[in-house]
Amino acid sequence: MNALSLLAAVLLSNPTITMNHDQLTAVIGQTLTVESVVSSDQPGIAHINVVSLDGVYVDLEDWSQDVTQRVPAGTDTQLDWEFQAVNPGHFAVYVVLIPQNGPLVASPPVHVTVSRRETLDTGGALPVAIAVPTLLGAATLIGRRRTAK
Amino acid sequence: MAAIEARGLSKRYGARNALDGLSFAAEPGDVIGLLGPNGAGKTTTIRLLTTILEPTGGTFTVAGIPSNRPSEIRQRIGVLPESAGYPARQSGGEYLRYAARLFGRSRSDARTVADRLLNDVGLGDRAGARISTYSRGMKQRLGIARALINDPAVVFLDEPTLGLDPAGQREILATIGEIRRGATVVLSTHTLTEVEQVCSSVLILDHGVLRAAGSLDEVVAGAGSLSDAFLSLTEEAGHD
Amino acid sequence: MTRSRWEVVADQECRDLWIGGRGPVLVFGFSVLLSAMTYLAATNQAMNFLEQREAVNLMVQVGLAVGVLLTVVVSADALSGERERGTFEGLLLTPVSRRAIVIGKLVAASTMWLACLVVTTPYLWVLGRGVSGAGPAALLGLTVGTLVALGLGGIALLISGGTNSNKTSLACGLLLLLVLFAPTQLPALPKTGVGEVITRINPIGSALHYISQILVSRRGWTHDLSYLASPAVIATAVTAAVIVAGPRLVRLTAGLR
Repeated sequence: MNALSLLAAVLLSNPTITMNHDQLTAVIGQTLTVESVVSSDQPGIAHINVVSLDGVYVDLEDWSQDVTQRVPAGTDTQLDWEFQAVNPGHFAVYVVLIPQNGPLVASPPVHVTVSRRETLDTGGALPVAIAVPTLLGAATLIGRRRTAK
Repeated sequence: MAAIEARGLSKRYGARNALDGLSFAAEPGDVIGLLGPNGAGKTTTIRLLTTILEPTGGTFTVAGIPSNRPSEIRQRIGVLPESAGYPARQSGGEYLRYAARLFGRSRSDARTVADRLLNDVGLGDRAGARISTYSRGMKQRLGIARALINDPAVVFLDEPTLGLDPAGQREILATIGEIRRGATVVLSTHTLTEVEQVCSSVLILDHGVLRAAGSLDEVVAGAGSLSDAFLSLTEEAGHD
Repeated sequence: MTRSRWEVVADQECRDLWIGGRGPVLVFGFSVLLSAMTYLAATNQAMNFLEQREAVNLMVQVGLAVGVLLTVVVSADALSGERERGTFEGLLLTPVSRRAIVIGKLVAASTMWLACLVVTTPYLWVLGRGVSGAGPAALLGLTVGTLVALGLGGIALLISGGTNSNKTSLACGLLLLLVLFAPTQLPALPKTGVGEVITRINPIGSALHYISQILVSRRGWTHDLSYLASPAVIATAVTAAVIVAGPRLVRLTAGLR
């Protein structure tokens, strides 16, 4: 058994994941892409995670639709992860590799700071909410007056 | 060439014969009175000849065009239906211009012919007014103008004086006489005096069957008056 | 130069609808509804980014729903309404082909849909600012909504041709819409087997599902494109039916030759 374990340890070197960023800043709604390079001798599945450092609930599906990618065995594999920053605050984004055999391997975190942006407010909506019905109402009245003559 | 020729024209609804074997001919320029009690088949006859309904038997030609070419027939006829409705929100002028364009006229030609006909029927000053503001008599005059929008060879008028007072009736008949421009006219009516005033020949229908056909003199012969002839012919069938 | 006859019919029907007709009033009422919805959304200070995207989605769905409803209302009146008002005989007494009459009326009814889409656009612009939502939302409304409006408007027109009563054709059209809308309000429906089938064959259900997948879940347009099969097939089939069978429905009295 010892010899086998030794053999396994020699043959199966630990997979590694590196990320191309340490930290990122974004405005809410912005789409970001991070690259990860996975080195693994055996096939596995890579999965991206987003964790809130402020204790805010994060629904991964809201951030990204494609959260898993297959990793083939052999040489370094570059994986791109696209996600949209849908919550404001501080987050850690990292990639986990689930290899065919052996323990999980996690990448270093990418610290993402997402700032708020007020895009919808009454000041912007009110002019449209008033103008459109007013114009249509006026056009209706004018049309009716013209045909009534 | 006959203006209208019908041979064995029939229309059946289930077990009921609305029209049974009608045969007659009309020459160009004739004014034919189509008489009969309620339910005799007058409107059915007109709707068959104007291609609104399809016959269940028989054939006909209108303006020399056979019944299997209904679109061409409609190009050559004008019709004032019995229960004609008018789009309330349109003006008289707009209504006629639309009709003219449906008959293939350009926008400018349609405007010209509509204005002329409105003047002819005495509605020239009301051309821009909504039809909903027209009196019944005015609507009937508008309907006559509409029936003449395409310079038809044959004009069908179904109860054109219905609902009008005697002055209005006289006015309508006069208008028809003035502006038909030699077209053959089929005038369906209950009013015998109208037939006596304007028609050259008469068809009397009862229960879908032709009871008499011919010139006024021929139909009246022996009966004394058109009224007597009409009553005796339609009472013969024993309807109540 | 004379125009093709269906164009003449469509032109006059549009005039009757939009100049002094019901069209402007209906669209005005529609805009009041959208204004209320937009203003309420804008006063919600707690609305986060996701909820704003969902607000855009909701606006597109309301625009589609009401636009289709108004199109059905106009189409349902097209033939049975003329019969009731007594104006149909005059139209039938022209040399215009029955097919041209039906096509012209369908085209005119479709302008109601286009008007609703145009009115919805400024509201989408306001709600979609910052979430990159307005452009895709408007385009989605145009493409997907037009398929649905054409299909259901055409069905309403066919119903109108088969009845003599305007009330009957309007009731049938509205009942059809209700039957198609009701399943879309069941939240879990698309995910179960039978539920997914029901959603896919329902032109409104599949259209709304497809739109929300793009606007809320941010899927690509080609993802789940099969959901557009139902609206596309129905729009095509109904248009073909209107062209082929429409002439048979254009009779003075429905059901009588």
